[in-house]
Amino acid sequence: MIVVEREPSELDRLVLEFVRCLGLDYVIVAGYVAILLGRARTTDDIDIIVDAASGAEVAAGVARCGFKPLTLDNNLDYEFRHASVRFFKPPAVLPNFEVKPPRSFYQRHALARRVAVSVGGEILHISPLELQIAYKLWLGSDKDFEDAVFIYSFARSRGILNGEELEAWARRLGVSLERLRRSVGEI
Amino acid sequence: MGEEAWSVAREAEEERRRNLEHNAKVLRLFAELAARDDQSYWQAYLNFINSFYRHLRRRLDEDSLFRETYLRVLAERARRPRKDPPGG
Repeated sequence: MIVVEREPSELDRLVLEFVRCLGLDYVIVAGYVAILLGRARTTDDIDIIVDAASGAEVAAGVARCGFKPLTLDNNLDYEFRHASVRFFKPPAVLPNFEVKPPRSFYQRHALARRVAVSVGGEILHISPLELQIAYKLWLGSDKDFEDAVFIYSFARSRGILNGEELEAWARRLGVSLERLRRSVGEI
Repeated sequence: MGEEAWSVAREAEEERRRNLEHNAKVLRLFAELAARDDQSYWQAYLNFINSFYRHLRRRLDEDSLFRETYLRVLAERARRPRKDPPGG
């Protein structure tokens, strides 16, 4: 488990409430992972992979806490199966939660091997850091590269980075780690 | 594209790369502070994140144009093609 010794931010509190109400196995991926670990940036959506049979199942769980889907009820299951469904807590549409089932090998792995993070004594589950770093490099935008740098540096400083696993993900995704390592002064 | 335009594009790209390199150095230092649970760092982090979301909520409450524009942005994003990772 990764323990972060700070109080939860307002963003963390919203995420904690959402996953508590969800009541299903989930894993958080993408930008919020870097934010949770300490990157001071904002996001307008939190990406969550959920082990659910349907969009209606997700909607029923989070509705208990007042979260609503940003889609019509009739489209919930179709959008969940084929794309994603966004949920928000009225009146604020921002930030919102982009929820989808595990479709790719990477998403299934992230869900199966999720990592617990304790913040303010509460637990959130995130993708394995090595997968997240390699995936961010594969996405390739400046923002994603910076997230990769942050997560990599955090994990290395904590002594929790599995170098072999990172290299294996990088090979599978066809990305080089050289630029990342040069950026953090390793080579 | 003319030579002058190429020169401007090259210069902009070099500037982008310099910024990215600089940002990476700063991010590494911030990540090391976060990894050490430096409480001054965490306080600054919390101030930034909390201020941003409080401001955002206020704007969403008070400004219908802001809210409508954001909903249009979301609809645009939903139509954006996404690439699939290899071996997925």
